[in-house]
Amino acid sequence: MDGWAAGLFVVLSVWLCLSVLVQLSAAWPRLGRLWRWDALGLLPQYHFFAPSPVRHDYHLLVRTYDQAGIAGAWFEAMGPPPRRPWNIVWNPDRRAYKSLCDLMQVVSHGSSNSPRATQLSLPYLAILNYACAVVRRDHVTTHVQFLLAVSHGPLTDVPPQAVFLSVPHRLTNIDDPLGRAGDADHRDARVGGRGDLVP
Amino acid sequence: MILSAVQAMRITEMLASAGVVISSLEVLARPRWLADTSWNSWTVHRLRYASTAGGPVESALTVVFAYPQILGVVAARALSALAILLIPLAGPAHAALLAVVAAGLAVRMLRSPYGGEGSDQVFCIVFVTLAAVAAHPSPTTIKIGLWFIAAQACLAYCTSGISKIASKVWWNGSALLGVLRTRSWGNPALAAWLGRHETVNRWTSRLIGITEACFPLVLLAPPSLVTPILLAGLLFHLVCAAVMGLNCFVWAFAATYAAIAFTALN
Repeated sequence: MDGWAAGLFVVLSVWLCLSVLVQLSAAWPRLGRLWRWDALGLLPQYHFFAPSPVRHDYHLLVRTYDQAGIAGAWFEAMGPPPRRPWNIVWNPDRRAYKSLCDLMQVVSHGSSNSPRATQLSLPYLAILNYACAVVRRDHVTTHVQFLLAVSHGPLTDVPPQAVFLSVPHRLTNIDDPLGRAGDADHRDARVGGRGDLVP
Repeated sequence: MILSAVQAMRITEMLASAGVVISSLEVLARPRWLADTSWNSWTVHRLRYASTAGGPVESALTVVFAYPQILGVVAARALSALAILLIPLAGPAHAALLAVVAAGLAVRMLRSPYGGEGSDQVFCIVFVTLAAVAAHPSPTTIKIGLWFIAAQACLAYCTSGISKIASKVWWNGSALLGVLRTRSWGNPALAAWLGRHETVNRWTSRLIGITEACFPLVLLAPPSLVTPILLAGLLFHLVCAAVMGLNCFVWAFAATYAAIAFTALN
């Protein structure tokens, strides 16, 4: 065995051992700390849909407020993409929706005791960034607000549920050059059950 | 079945390359989801680390990760994978193309950890290994690479299987039914049928976990059983692609099967 082969054997053996260790993080959460050092995603997460898979669809709803403080209607900015027969070989919408689901999952499970921390979290900011982009900007629209909801598929009678309601965030408008998106109070609401949408 | 190490390596890189071409084209087919108006905006995701939020590191990464430059990275990854798939190369050019694909897959995670899936992880592991082997190809390094890819695949199946067996909702079948009922990953017709046949649903759910957990035994199986086991695995992923839309898993795990076959038969 030459030097390169020996080095490769050592590196891949260490990589495999670390890969095994991080799989045990469900039982020993301290091992999950290894992922903090894994910026390139080389330590895999092989639990695929286990132990408890997501059994609902996420929906992102957005609405705006006008200068009088009156809220507009909610509209769905993103929901599960329709499935097509050719998705067995070609499924481009899966990836974008999955990334939004990952973000929404983090935000909806954020601590209700520290809403300010939730508002400053990267997933929250990423969703807010999209919400700001999809609303129609005009001189009467002043704030944007988003709602995360879950539904349980076409076969169930369980109604969609609201799981997270953001505070209204001020939009930067042409006639309000000093306004900043994100200028809001700290009262995000995590809602459950049938969804009480009062912030 | 007789499979040399070189043949196994070539089959692995061809199947993995086909998968990377498809997954990269899927990203390029929806470019706006990487734009600054999206939830995948680099302007937002660079805030993940203090070192990438500002300063020279941020400036350097922005050249590559900002929109639309990131589409160039994905396109380079797709073209490199296509070249590997179509042209049997050797030497530095081969290693360089494999390195481009490996780097293209790894930086996806650096830009944003959200939205990745199991197939991305497997592709990344396979291409980093292939690139390391191609940098200094020899019978020994090729065998080490194949052994590592096979071990990672077995770890993936075993972890997934044990997690399902230990899960109450997988053991009673409610997890499988719950997933299949969603619009995102489900199939209403199959979910409705399984909902009417609770025993079939429960045992299908249990068998998925048990079969996955036992998959590493393929390395100890008699040679005559290796091919049927791998064909069953391929069928499982094809069913998942048809039912759940997980198309790239087929290529990612099929790519590891040549390595598994070589390791099991030698």
